[in-house]
Amino acid sequence: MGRLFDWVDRRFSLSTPHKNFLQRGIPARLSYLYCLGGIAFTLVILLVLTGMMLSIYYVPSEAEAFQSVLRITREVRLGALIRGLHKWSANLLILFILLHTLRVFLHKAYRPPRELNWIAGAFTLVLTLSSGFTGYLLPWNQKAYWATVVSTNMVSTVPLIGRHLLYLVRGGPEIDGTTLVRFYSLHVLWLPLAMGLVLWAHFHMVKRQGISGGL
Amino acid sequence: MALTDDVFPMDSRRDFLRRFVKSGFGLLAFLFGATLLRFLYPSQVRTRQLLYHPLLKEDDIPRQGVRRVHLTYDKGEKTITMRLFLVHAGADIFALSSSCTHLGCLVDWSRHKEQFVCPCHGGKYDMQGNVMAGPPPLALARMPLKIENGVVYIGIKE
Repeated sequence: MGRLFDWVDRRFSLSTPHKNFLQRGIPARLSYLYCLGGIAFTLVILLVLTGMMLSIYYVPSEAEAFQSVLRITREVRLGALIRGLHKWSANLLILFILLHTLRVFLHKAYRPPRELNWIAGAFTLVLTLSSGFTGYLLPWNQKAYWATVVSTNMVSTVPLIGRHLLYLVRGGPEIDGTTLVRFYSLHVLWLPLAMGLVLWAHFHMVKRQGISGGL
Repeated sequence: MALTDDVFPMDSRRDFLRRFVKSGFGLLAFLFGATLLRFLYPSQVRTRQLLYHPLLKEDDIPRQGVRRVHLTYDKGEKTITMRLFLVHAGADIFALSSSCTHLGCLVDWSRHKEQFVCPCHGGKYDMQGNVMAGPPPLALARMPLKIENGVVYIGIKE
């Protein structure tokens, strides 16, 4: 491991630019509260891995989606475990992002020069909630269907353009296969890509600005 | 990584703890990797063969029309009985599954309507099994059938 890493590192030059980051000074009184963001990121990694696994068996079509989820839960070996990991990580991710936000807020860690990082964090929260929302439809069961009927209906209350926004979100006047594919694409392609970019920016700024001293 | 080794030379206690934690993470990564591999490996590797079970004698095929029959066969330790229809339409002889393609209720042959009728939601099929009315999305399934030495066999996937 060591020699292989050194061989790559001499060419890729990974450790030298990160030396200052890995061996920087950190506030003297760090507590476990500073782990909340890291826990959230660990959950993101878990979500990406289990999500990639689920996409091997999941079929995003009107006729097959529900059956394929049943197949994952009942027939695929350890399928219920992987699906459970994905579901619970998703729920916990929202919880830990909120706790992390609360910690940053209470420690006044959003103050200059960290305003932009607070904004990046806020985007992460929005992207997470969107992922949760689009992912909720994918099992294609009654609960998923009606939850999405109700929540997409809210879009139509926007003045003037509400109806057109609703058609845009649903891909038509009703929730059908088009909506499912739309949500699937957002869930596995668009949102994770945006999430990757925003998180990269988030960590880049943590690296450059260091950890706030707290209270 | 080799990075911190030359900066902070470790005494043996610290070195041990570091190895301990590292191997803990290594074990975790290994278990997770094994879990993912097991998930990816297909759960059904054997191809499922068609097994033919005797249904009735060739002489018992209706001259023309539909006959309701029951196929009984052993699957593992269970004995399974299923209702199906033997149809003789023109020169064609075929077997139709009796489960409605809408929600799986068992259809029955109505002699005076000349149709298969589903009691649950009013699905109707003609003698060929094609949908005539109601909610069914597909025609009744045709079962694999072969006639050998005067006996009619029905094929079921094992």
